Amino acid sequence: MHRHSDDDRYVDDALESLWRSLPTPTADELQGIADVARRHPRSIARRRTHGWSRAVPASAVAITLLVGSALGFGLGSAVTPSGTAADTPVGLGFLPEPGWDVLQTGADTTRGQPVIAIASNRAFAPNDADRGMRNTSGLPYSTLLALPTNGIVVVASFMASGPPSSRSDFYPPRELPLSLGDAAPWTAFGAEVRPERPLGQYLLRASVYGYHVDLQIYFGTPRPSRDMIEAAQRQVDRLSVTPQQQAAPVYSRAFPLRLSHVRATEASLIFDRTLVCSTTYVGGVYSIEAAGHRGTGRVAGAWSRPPFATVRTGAGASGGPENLSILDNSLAWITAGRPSAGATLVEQSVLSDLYRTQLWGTLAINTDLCKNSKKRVNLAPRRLRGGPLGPLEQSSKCFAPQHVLMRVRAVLSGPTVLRRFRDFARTTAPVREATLVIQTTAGEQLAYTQVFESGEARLLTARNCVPS
Amino acid sequence: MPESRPVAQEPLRTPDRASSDEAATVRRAQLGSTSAFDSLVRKRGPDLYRYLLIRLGNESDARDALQETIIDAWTGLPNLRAPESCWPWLITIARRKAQATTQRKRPRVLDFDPDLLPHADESALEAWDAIVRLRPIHREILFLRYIIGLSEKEAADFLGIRVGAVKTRSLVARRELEGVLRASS
Repeated sequence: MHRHSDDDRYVDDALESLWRSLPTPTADELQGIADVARRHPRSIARRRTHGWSRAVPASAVAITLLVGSALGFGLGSAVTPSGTAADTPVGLGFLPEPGWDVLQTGADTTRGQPVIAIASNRAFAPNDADRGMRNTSGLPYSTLLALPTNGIVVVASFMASGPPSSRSDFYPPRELPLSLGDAAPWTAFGAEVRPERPLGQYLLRASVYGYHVDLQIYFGTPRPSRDMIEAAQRQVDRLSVTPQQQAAPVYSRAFPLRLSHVRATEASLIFDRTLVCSTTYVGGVYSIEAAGHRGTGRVAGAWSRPPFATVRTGAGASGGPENLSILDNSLAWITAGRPSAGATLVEQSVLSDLYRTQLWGTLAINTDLCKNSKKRVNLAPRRLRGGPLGPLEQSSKCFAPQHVLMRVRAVLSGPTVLRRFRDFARTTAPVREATLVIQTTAGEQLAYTQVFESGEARLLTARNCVPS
Repeated sequence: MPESRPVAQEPLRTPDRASSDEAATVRRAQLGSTSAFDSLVRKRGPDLYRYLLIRLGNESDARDALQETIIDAWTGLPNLRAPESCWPWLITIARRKAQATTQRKRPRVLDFDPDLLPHADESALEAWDAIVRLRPIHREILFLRYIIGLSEKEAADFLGIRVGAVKTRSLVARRELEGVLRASS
């Protein structure tokens, strides 16, 4: 430390005088400089498109997990097997605190595709970290089962919030960093992860920068110490939420599935497409569910309930049309015949009126979960069992690999193109008949379903599928 | 039967945090808060600019270097592990930008340029005149320690020298500046 003599003061005054006399940018100029800087992408965590791997504090690892949460439900969904943009910065997730491990998804969130990030001050159990699975329920179950008393796990899920809806009420606007003081004790459906040695389970919900954020905090003890809470808070302080771009709603914007195939001039009566789709990992397995029913209520040539078939993956969910919906887990659905104005695709829900066929489409492909494929899928059923569908929905669940091939062939009532609606490419034109086939990449058929404008529908599934 | 006890029922009590603290602002900026980042730029931008102005000697270069510094700050903030060290970190970036600028151009001695100090009083002009006569390492340690306000440890880290060397260099620089100032007055 220097001496505060008169000589020192003389030098200090001179330096301060010089410093104060130097010009500085104006507030507007500084704002302009900051604006320019903020247009540059930030490198937070690198996106990984394949597999899990352990994260060390210095490098956050990207994985793809799937969990939706609608009214507190954990929901599996699936991920686009894009394999692209491996170096694209990811702005949703945790920056790990020293001594913490982080696993996080690299996928972009949509209304049906949450992004998940998990941070723990203990090493992740191999089951949770190293199984090479991109999709999960978002619950690091094995890690939680073995969590020691001073262990902490924080799970964050991000969903694009979309336009305001009733769901928004669950997510009050909050500023970063989120405060654990706003968290509340929570167990989903009253279920404890580890009843014999209870965990401290808390939930904090927030609406941040265009995302609905669910923050689930697990402590190794029901009564976490102040040190544990502070440690968790420090990690939560490093939760990153890059503002979502204010883009026009995509679900009402029309665009072709593939430009070269669906320009208006190339609109066709026949839709025939083979795709490769991701399935969702829920409850320890990847699975699909094929479902459908025959048509009922035909009046003046229009079906109030057209014949319908779908193949979906993951758990079902409920919610308004602006959020995770009952249909968002569908890989595809097909109907046949002309739907009436009030026809809906979903009827067991009190919200069925929201799923009008003329809005959601008579035929739809999930472009978020499925990509075009050049593989061949035979349209004739092989080694399947099943038959005609009745008026009530029948469904069958099948174990499936992580990716399946799907072929959709439909004869339409007039030339049409598929247009974008939410995460689907869909048409609202009436379909005369349609076939939907699911098979593994090895060629084993899992499900085969058809619908006809006469109202008939049939569903055949592999022998190891079970009615659900 | 395993014993089933209720999970924690009490809300979590978190430590108090002063929102006005710069570290908190930095932390929010790290997490993507644009308003926090803007606030940081407004607070630290003027001093960064002054530093660059003294290092580079002209407003055009200083302005460019400031822009580059702020861009690097925005992109690099998530990797800053100690938010409380943001100011030394920013100065380090600014210094690197200044070095890059001087390397691109022909190195030159910092000249006395009264145009840089349009509103300077007599003592400021004298100080400027004295400063530019100092050896660069002394000039720099004076700025770092007594104007920018880095601690001895931070200045040592910044310059890559020992704390003891910072103390010695500071003392010598002050004596040298004092001598020049007294000689000119």
